Amino acid sequence: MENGFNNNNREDYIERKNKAIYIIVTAIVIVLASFLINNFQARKEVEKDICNVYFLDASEEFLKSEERYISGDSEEEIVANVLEILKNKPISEVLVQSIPENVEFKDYWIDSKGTVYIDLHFTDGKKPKNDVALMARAALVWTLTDLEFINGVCITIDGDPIIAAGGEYIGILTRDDLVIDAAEIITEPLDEVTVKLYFSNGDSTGLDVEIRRIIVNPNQELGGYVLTELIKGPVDENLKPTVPPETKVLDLKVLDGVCYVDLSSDFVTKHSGGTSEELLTIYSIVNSLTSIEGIDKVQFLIEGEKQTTFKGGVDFSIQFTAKDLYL
Amino acid sequence: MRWLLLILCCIIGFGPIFIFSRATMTSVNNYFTANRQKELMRQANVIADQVSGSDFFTNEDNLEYFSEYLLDTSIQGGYRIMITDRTGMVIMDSNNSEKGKVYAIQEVIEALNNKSVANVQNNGNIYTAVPIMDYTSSEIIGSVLIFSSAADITDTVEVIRGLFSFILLGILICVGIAIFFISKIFVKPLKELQGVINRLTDGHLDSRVKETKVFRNEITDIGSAFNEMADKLEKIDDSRQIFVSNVSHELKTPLSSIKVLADSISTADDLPKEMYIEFLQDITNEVDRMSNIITDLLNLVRLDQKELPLKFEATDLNKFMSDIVKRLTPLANAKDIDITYEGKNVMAEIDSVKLSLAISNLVENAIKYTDEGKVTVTLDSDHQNAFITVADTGIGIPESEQNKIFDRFYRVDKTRDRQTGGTGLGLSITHSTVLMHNGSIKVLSKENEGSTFLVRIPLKHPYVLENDK
Repeated sequence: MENGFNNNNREDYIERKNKAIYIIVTAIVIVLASFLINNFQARKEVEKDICNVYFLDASEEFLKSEERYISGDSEEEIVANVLEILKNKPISEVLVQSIPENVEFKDYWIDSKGTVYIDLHFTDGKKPKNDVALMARAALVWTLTDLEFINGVCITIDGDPIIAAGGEYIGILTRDDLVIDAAEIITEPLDEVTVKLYFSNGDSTGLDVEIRRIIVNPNQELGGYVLTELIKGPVDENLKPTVPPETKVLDLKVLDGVCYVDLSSDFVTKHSGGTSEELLTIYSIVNSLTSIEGIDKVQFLIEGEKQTTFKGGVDFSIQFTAKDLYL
Repeated sequence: MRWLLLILCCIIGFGPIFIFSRATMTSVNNYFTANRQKELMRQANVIADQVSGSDFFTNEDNLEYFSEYLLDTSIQGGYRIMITDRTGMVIMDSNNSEKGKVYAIQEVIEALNNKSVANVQNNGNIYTAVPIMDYTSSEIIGSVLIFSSAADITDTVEVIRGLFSFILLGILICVGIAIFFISKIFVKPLKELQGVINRLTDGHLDSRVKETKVFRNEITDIGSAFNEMADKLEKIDDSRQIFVSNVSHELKTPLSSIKVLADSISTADDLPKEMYIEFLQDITNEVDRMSNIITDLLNLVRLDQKELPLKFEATDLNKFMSDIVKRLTPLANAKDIDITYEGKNVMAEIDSVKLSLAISNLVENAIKYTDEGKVTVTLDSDHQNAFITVADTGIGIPESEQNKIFDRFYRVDKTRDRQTGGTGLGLSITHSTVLMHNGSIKVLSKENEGSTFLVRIPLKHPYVLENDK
């Protein structure tokens, strides 16, 4: 009798316990979900409300941005708010105003393509110095293009466009047109040159030439760039690549008209093989390199060592000169 | 210890070398960087001058020719050249990619502000910016920028640094090895000393360290000091042996007398009663004599070993001295010797019991070694010391013996002392006692004229002062 009584109780208890667990878990899920959604929404709103406004560093020689909350229901209102912030002092104490005091934003409008046109006026009639003007323009462009609906800024002064020294008008400036950070500047000299690349023709019976214009550092060996292009393969769909794409150029030196090419072992291992394929590969490289002024012969090395044979068919230890292939 | 020295050398050497090499490398880097900056600025100024001269902000042909020149210069120098106008727009670029863009970067701003700068960017690139001045209007019409990578400098510096480190490491190793071997030179004499000390400890008291006349240093000084110590040790050992032989001799003499007397008594037949009494009296005297010797000896040894602590008390020296003289006057009178005392009132901190014995010895000797004449005892003082003199007109002490008289059992004339019944220890005890009082004792003597003993005793004993505290 007692057992039965206990069993009943126990079943009840378990059932109630399970129910409780379900309720608690559901509650937790709901709370988490709403929290996440709320956060997400909030962040989205927050993102919408923040703009990176560009001020001057204390030295007044470069721009630094500051995050500021902006308000406005329409695009015009937002732009007005941003312009107002720009006209005033930054919050951070280490930054300085980027728009000179005598600059007044007379008018502005936004076109459908995302460009904002701003007309400036100098309250005292005096144009600011060149460097001040440049920073102010940069601040305007980078601040306004931080807004998602703006991608370009066109500045006029009393209705007239700004004229560059050469006489041309400075029109719409995007972030691409106006650089404020010199860190990305490439320091090596670059020039555009034309190179002749020999690839295999469609039926693998010979080599055809593809002409390419590439950007090179004139102080580096052109042969290295040529090899890189050969490894990339032909652009022309009628031609076939001759060098395995995994090949790495370890070293390339030109001495007394002989070009010493040191390639990684992938050049051999990843090559499909076959005598005609071997010849096509070798002479695509040789002919391309010897077309460079100053190179008459090519000597191959694999991982720094001379090889007697490439894939078994051709003597690889000799110095190759250009040859027309007919297979 | 040689390993310790080596490790120490490495640690001490490494620190400064490390700092030094870092500083040097930084200097080298700065030198090359500064050179590059100068080169760039020079080049930029040349270009700026040429731009000022020819007016190609408007002239297309000039522009064409100049861009060729710019490209050549850029390739030759391995750097990037850009020219902007006064609005910051790039009108010429050696790489031909940035033309038409506006460069609102710090370097341009600096140049447009009429500042010529050459510096290093955060990313390591070296740059220069110079203004282009229009000579007619004296306005700044643009800027010349040159950017160069510092990779070749870094590579060179790395090579130098590698070489430098290699050389320094080599030096460190060589120095370490050298020190290892040189330290042998320092350790060797110490090991030698240790060997000699061990031999001495084993009992060879004649062991000495080799003295070098050359290159005296702290270690050879230790050797000399050791030799001195060993000399003293040997001397002490010798004197111990002498002492022991002296003692046995001194005790043997009365013992053989006793034996002779005893034998005589036991072997003789029918001796008169008076003879027995006389012999037995003699035996008693010898026993007394031996007893005195032993007592004196014990006192002397205890004094030396400071086993008997001296009790220093303030004493009236005048009374002290006159008491001694009074006590010994009968002795003097027995020999018809005139004994006088002259003193003054002096207070001193002394152990009266022991000092009394010491001074008594002196007076007794004076009487003993004077056949006729007088003995004069005086007491004087200054504010620090008391001066006691005991002078006699006796047989004196030969000059050659004067420094030996304080030695134990030393007798100038052996035969005489047997007669007078001394132990031969009197002056030793006096000497020790006076020294224990921090005083000094000296003798002036001429043979057949007499001797004078001068004793100095400090009035205040330092130990007493300490005890008072």
